[in-house]
Amino acid sequence: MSGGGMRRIAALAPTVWLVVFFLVPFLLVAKISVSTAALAQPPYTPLFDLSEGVAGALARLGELTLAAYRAILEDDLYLLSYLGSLRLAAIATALTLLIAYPFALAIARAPRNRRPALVMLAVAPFWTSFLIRVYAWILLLKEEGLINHALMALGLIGEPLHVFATDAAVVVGVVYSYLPFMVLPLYAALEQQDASLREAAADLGATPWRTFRRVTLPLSLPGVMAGSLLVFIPAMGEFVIPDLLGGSETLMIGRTLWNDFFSNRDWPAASAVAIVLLALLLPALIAYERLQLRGRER
Amino acid sequence: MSGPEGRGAPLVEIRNVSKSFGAVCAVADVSLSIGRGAFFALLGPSGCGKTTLMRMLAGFERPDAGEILIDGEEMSATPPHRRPVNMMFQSYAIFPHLSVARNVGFGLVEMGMGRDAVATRVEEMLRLVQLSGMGERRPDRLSGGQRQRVALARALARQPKLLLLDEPLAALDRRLREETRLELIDVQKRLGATFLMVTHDQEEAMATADRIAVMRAGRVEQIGAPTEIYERPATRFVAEFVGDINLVEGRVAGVEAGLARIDTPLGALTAQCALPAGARATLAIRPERLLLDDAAAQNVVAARVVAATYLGGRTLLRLAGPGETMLRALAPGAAAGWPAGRDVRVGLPVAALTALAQERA
Repeated sequence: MSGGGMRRIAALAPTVWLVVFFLVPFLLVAKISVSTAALAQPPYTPLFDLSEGVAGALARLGELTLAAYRAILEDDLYLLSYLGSLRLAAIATALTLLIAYPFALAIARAPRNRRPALVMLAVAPFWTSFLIRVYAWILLLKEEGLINHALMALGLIGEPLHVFATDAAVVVGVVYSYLPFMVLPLYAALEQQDASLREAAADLGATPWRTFRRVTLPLSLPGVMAGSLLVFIPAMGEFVIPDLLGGSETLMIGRTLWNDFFSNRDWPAASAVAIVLLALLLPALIAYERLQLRGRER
Repeated sequence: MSGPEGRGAPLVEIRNVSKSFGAVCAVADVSLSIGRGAFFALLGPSGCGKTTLMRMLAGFERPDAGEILIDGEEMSATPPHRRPVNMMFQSYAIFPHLSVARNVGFGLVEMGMGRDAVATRVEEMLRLVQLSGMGERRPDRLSGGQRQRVALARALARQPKLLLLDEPLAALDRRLREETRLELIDVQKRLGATFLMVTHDQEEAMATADRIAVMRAGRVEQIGAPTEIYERPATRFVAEFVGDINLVEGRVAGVEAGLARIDTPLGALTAQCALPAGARATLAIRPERLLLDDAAAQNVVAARVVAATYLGGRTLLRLAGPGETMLRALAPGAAAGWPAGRDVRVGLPVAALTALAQERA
């Protein structure tokens, strides 16, 4: 095979990957979302059968319906779930940012030869199972858990705090789980800042705090944006954390989707929920993509 | 003592300042003072401690020992943002997220100056560096020379008692460098400010500064006016670092009325010399100070032309003297008059000869 042919195949590989593993599943989900739930295997109609030929398939097109989407608009549960996800994801993203910024700053200001080790430590939690780590938080947060024991032993609280099985526990779980996604882009933005800019600010009369406000922080905003989107986008659709740490009243769209899919076996409803979530996240995804492109141009 | 920088107490006094980084001694027991209104240059090769010394004046480094006084106040523990000093960084360190005007006004805002006052002063500074009307430009749309001017305007905006310039011209191309050099001198004279420049370029120091401290390995080798540094180098290092020079080893044979007779491979030469008889000495003389075929010359030795290189306007001669000692001489005009092998009588005027003590290796 010629070198040009090889190169064309190499260039085609990502496209093929995206088509097979993203576009096709997406189209399947989109198609299911306009189907009708049925007691069958698979649990929806219509099914397109190649044996019916083109005419048969066209006839079945008429059976497609937007009923699942209409249900999302009409049932408050969905609206509350989306808003619940939005609220918790926003709170968790803001907290993650507040906690990750000092982390990233400390790593970026550490001696150059120590930075790689510190970055490794920041991502070290990824080496164990996500599920096990979220489970571990149950042991920490529940009423007879470690944190309550410790606080009571210290005499700081008289009776255990009710954190486990609340929205607060979900926020804790999201902040903990996604912290590295915030630390890394922040670190990247802070690490590449020219130290002489800080010296110049100090030289021009700025106190360390003013230097941070006027130079370090504004120059790190691309990292703040990238990290916030990397946390916010998956947090919106999070299922495992609210399911394990949240209470029965914790409404998040991932959980609602799971219930529709597995408990109600209403695949069209679940698919419609997923499509709407994607549509809602699209602006955030585009913003992230833009940011990456601009970073590459520089 | 009233030196050439007289006019009351000096603005900057550095007293026995030392600074080490780990095991590396960057600045070793340096003392010097800078007069008000001076254009002072710290000159030396990279790693000589000149940048560290400047950073201690700015407050970015703290001396391990010694005192730094600026306008009579001890400063070594004062953080950079509270010093009456501003610096123009070698990289210019222009804030990339702020416009030209906001860069120049950065330090004025920190002084608590009102918005209108800042705008007026920024406009004034931009006029000073010939960037009027460029205030709204983004820094990434500026040329190298324009960035240098923004950095200068920003550093001068707060009217610092002392302006530090870290290799101010190093990033500019040659033609722009000469022009900018003149502008720097002009700005300094017009403002009557005190400038301290760090440079490794002896030509730049000579052309810009009115006083130069030559540094080597953390120590000051010599402080003086450019002509003193050039004509009367105090050490062999200064002699070799600043410009081209002939060095001849010898031994003091005898001293009489301030003039020494020094035995060298070129023969016995007369020179002004503070060294005692018997001391080893190095005689130094600039190539352009050698007198060629001049009947009235002193210290005349016979030599022969080895090679002549035309430099445009002048010719650099490589001469072999007695004992095959090589000398470099500059002659006016073209190389044609100096064929290889031609005999030439070389005079080494007493006034141009400097006797240097033999140095520690």
